[in-house]
Amino acid sequence: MSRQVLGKAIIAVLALIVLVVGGKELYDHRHYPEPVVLGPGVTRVESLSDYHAPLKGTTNDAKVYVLEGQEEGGGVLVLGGTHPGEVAGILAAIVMVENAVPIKGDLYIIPHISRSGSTGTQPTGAFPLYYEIETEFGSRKFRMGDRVTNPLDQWPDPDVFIHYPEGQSLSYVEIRNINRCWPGRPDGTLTEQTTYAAMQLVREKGINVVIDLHEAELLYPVTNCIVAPTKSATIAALAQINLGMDFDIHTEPSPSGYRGLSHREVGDYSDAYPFLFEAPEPFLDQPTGPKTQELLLEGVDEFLLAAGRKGLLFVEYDETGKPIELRVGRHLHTLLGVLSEWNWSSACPPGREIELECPDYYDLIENGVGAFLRDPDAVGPDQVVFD
Amino acid sequence: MPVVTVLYYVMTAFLALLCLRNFLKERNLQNAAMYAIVMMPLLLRLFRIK
Repeated sequence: MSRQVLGKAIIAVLALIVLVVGGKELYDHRHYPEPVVLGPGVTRVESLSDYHAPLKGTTNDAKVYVLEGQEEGGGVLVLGGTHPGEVAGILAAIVMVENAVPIKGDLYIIPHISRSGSTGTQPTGAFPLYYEIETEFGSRKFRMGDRVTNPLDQWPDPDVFIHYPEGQSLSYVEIRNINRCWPGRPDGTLTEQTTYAAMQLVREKGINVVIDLHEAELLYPVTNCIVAPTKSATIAALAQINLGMDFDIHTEPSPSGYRGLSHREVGDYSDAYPFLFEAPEPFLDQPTGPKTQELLLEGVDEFLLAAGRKGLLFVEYDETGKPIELRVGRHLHTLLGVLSEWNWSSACPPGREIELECPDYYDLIENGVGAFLRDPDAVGPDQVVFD
Repeated sequence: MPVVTVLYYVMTAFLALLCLRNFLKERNLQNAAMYAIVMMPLLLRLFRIK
């Protein structure tokens, strides 16, 4: 055998090993069954395909957890995982499913509105495939995701994405971004059909408030805030005033000229009042060290600290970082604050108040996220849903 | 699956075959390694892994 043939044979074997070993990890990640334990408030579990049948059997046929209040009242839809790399949104939604008890009104919670996005990580991003939250019974493992629908589920992208129905031209990749495809359409792409299904849920169930949970970079101005359109602005502003005693938060107006976002289209195409919450996630920033689970969950990075010292960040940032319990706690506390203001506002029709018991910011800071995650092995199989 | 997606998988398979052909014909080992590396994401997409 010549040196050349031997060399190529070695290269081929090495490439095959990398392909098989790496490919298996990626395959397992995409198919990892993430457990959610049904908490005391859950009355039933639906699927997004219940609101748009063509979604059935697709990757985006997400679970909808319904928590019905003891008294009749309004309805709130909570969306986690619009951008699956923004993990505090997903964890906040799961903490609600496993702990919240509605007193008045109904909660509809979708922890993974972009299930497809959660089945892959950002190409060339070197993200960890999973992250684990420590609990008293061990650790709970969650899939790390990408910002957009997995190309295995929707491919190829066009050169330019033309938003339906507003006709605005957006960047090609936004065709796979849930938060640029609202309000969706029944015969569109998988991503558009997903937002269409969520809009159908809003319309059919008479949802009053829609809350979309996100995270954003510290180098980005739209972070640490509530984004609200004009119709929701008063509620957001009043919530901000009260929440400002607990942590730094501000309101951002939803720009009427930027189409496709939940905080714009949900309000324009339904009677619901939309809000989008942003918490600070250092992991998302470009100039950081290696993208590790530690960075994701603790949020401490020397490069961001240096940027902070030069006044380049849009949030206060020090060696304590931005730990996951702070970010999840912010989301839950802000949600409770917004619902409280909704109940008092003139926008709330009589009898459409929403009240619930749910862990808040101080509970999360004191006990950590793990204290509010239940043990899937300690309950019966009918109490565990795999998403 | 939309027709355009099927066409893109066909194109991916074609490109992967081109890379394989070039890998087999290539005499320079460094270039051969490059073809092998270039082929990997194409194969991951064809096998619907990534």
